[in-house]
Amino acid sequence: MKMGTMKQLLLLTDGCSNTGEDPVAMAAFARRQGITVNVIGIVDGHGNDPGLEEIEAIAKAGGGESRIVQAASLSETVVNVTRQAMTGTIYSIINEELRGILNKEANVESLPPATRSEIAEKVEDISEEAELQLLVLTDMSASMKLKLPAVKEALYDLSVSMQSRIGPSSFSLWTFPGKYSAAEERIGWTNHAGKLAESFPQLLSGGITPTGPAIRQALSSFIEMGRYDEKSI
Amino acid sequence: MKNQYEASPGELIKGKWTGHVWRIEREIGRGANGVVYLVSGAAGRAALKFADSASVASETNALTALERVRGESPGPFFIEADDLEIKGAIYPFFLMEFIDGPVLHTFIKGKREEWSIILLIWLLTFLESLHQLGHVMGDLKPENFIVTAQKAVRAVDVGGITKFGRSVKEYTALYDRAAWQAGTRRAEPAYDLFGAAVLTVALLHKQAVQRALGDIEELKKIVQSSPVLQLIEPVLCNAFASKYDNASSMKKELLLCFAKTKTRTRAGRKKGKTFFLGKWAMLAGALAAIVMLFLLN
Repeated sequence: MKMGTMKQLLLLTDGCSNTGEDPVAMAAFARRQGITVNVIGIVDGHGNDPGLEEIEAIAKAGGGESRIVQAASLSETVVNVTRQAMTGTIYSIINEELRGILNKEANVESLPPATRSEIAEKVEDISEEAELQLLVLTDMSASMKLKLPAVKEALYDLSVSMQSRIGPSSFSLWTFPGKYSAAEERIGWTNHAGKLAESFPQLLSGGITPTGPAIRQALSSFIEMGRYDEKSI
Repeated sequence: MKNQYEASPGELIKGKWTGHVWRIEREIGRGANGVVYLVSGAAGRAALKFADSASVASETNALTALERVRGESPGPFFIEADDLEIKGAIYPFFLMEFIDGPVLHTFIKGKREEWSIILLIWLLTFLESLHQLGHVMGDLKPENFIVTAQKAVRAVDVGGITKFGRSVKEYTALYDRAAWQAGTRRAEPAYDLFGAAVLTVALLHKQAVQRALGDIEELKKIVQSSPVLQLIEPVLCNAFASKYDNASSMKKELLLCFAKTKTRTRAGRKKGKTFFLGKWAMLAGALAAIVMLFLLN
């Protein structure tokens, strides 16, 4: 099986969007472009914030994973979500193929366990070796203030795991709200994962949380990247 | 987490593919990606793990990869994988050998601190055989290992087992080389040896190690301030610096280190501590003897 580039958008936020387009619709839009949207919600207490439902809905529409965590366990979560989303993307492609061969309801689970193990081995190979483009989109609204050190640490941790991958990876960091627009690019596409944490900005941006528009703007970055690279999924 | 199946004691689990029936006895473990139960079936007792389909498939592969040596495995033997089907929903599970015994930190509770060094030696023996198969353990938390009645350490969770050269699949920050900023997360023997060294320190001084996380110098200070760990300080420090590229050489130096420490303590300390010293020398000697016995075994 030949695999193109895996494209992921990882959204780190602590709550409700409050302005602009619906982030769930934007995530669905991303998915149609072949980009998986994963969301990690960072909470203070035991998490009954109204924003949590939105977090799940965004990831669901974006075909990705969602987690709600406290700042302390952010590091492990960021790595795991990225990893699981990669295998998830590959599995969903396999499921589509199976539906073409077998029937409309078929998926990997309709195969016997021994066959599944063989598939799992291939999936692991692919997710380790395929090219990955990962865009991290971080909420920098006022309420994130105390969580920023944890975000920086998590990005460092992520970069360490990504550097240990066999396949090529590129990274980009966006934050929102931006000074002049919904979101702004902080680090353009680079192969050096380390830059994510090194140049992570320490200054907050402001009060509004335009999650939807921010996703839309960040997507443009993948599209520009795609002009140079035509072999995406 | 995705919908996970919760079984209760006494419940019968019938496999969709094999038709085999397993009776749940009790829950024996719960992790991020699944629940493990002790079950009994026609073939006897076994451990049954419910997890999502991808985890079941990849853990099945990890378990079978460990069985290359006939009749032996550093982990549990794989029995079979199957699905439970209830009202159209599929709950994948697999069965493996039930390894009975205490986990590392339970084993050492109430024992003398010197046992941590014995555990390290057993752990290195385990890693030797795992590395020979081309895999690393990855997640070196004490809950993942059991001390068997045959006085060996075996793995009971294989979720972190990763082929050499890849990025480690699963890890716990406390035992992770990258979290201590002491190297990469690439699967290689030195990654596990680093984790094994931290594990040894954490078995005795868990809280202090947790506070030190990320600062390797602080970790070395914990080693220096512990009378037992001092004995093997050079070996631990070499492991922290990823200086060993295989478990055998670390084990060898660990044993040599013992022998040297014994003579040094006898010669070099002040008077007034002689009673204490004599006791120490005897202890170290006894320890070395025990260790030699295990090696010859």
